[in-house]
Amino acid sequence: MSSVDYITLLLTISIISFYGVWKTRKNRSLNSYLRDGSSGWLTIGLSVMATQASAITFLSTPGLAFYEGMAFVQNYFGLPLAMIVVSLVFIPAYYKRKVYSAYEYLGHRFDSKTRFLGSGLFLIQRGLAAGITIYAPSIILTNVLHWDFHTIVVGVGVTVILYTMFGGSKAVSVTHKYQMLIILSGMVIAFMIVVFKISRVASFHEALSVAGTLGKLEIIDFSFDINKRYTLWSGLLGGFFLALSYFGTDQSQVQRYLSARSMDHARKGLIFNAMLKVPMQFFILLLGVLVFVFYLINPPPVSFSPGITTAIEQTTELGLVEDKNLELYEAQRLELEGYVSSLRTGDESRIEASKETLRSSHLEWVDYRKSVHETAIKESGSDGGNEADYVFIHFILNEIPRGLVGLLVAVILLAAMSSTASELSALSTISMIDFYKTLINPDGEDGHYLWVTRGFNLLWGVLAVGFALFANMLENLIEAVNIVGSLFYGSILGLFLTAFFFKRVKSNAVFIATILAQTCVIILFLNTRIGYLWFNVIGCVLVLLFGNLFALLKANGAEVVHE
Amino acid sequence: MREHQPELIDPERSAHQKQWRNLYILVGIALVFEILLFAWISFFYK
Repeated sequence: MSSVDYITLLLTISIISFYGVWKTRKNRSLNSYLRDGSSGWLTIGLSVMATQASAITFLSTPGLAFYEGMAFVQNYFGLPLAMIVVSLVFIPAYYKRKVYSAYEYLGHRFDSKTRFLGSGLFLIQRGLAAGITIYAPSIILTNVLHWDFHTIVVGVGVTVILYTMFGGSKAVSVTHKYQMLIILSGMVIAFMIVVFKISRVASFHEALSVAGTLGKLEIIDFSFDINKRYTLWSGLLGGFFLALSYFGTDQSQVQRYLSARSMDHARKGLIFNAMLKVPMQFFILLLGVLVFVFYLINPPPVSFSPGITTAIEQTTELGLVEDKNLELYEAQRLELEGYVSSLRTGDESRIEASKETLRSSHLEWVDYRKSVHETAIKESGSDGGNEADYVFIHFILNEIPRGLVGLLVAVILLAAMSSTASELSALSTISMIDFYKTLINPDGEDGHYLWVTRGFNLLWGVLAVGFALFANMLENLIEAVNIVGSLFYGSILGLFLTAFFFKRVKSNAVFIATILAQTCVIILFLNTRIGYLWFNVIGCVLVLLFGNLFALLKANGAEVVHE
Repeated sequence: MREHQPELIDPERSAHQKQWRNLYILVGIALVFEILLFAWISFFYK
């Protein structure tokens, strides 16, 4: 990166962060600190999007499309429908009770133990996840830019802690708005650059034809196979339950729309997200597919991941591997040119013939690269890193003009900061509202609560930074946190849906039902190969079933005793 | 009593609800359009 890039990067991050602090400098009450209550629908919509989109969304999603195509977009099909349900059911319930936290509602509807179950699970899961949100992009940037890992983690962490601690929820919303605008602009610029670079060899339509021929544009899968990761049905149903749980019950999202100036603005913010999310994910995946086409036209390195390249260097003659990689690439490039020229003739039989030869030469090249990577990782005994995570950042650093590289690295760091900010704000709110104010000091003064909440914000921030710093040594734990986090969502959603729709189910029944359903989900996860999105459906349905069953049994038992 | 019932309906509230219903329908239409578009892209660029 050049000095212009460093200036762009630092200016972008610091201006937005300082603006967040300046704009919220008059925050004096706990209510304005936790709920804000002044944001319009556009700010809410962008804030909800910024919370969901972490740095990994922008680093790994294009890489995912590069290797696996665009089928991943199906996972988002349930989201717009979930937004409608959150808007119709969850938001009115939260606004009616004037709650600060989603779990406070559970306390009103059931009892304290159910409230602590929900908020406790959130604190454990989000407390660890906040560390990973900072860790994941930091390790990638360290590997490619050779920056000091600790400096990135502490830099990102301290900046977020500062503006969330002083500005509270409003600072999160205000910064989200500008962070998201920079992020979207950065991605559009990257898209335009890759399209321009490809256009020297192939038109946009020809580039898509090449990608389609090589299987990258198989977006919709209508099959009913439950073991497949991405299908239309798992995306619609599993994606619906996941989005409903995430947007309806996860405090990091709930707090975003509770910051709206009215219920209508909160709802409009979610509808904005419903309309934009699928096109945005499609666009990021398409960017990855176009980067794939770019590296068919221009020779890529043997591996995008510096870790895998080092592993190859350690285990074999890198020069020989590079020569073979280039030789297979050149053979494929010839076939690609043949295919593009056949497209221009419009001769169907010629197009079909050149499609086949392109596919086979591409497959030979891909197989070679894959076997080299696998052998090197196996023989060196190193992890090597996930190849897909490094594709887009490699493109940014090597193909984007000076100055814009700084902007795109800022996009990645801003995305990490935006997600972390929501998490810290939510964690400190839960610590204050669901624990401190309820269990420790129910009769404190507003000013006291405000400073204790700031203290919680600092504490959770320090814990997240600490976890990120030591996460390197805890690779298995990171995976476990990600998996366990996604396994909790279904049961938590079941808990809330019971609260909204089944008035006869009381606290003890729903409490035992949630624990039982969660146990079943974990057993199923350990013993089957069901696609992970389905666990959201299973967990939720089991809580609803068990809850109603226990309520029914209790009612019958009571009748028997009465007789 | 029955004759007075129409006056109980708040026209402003009713229009507001209708506006929201239309917005939700729009979200549904957009989703169906996106799925069809993506299916067409999958088919066209096979």
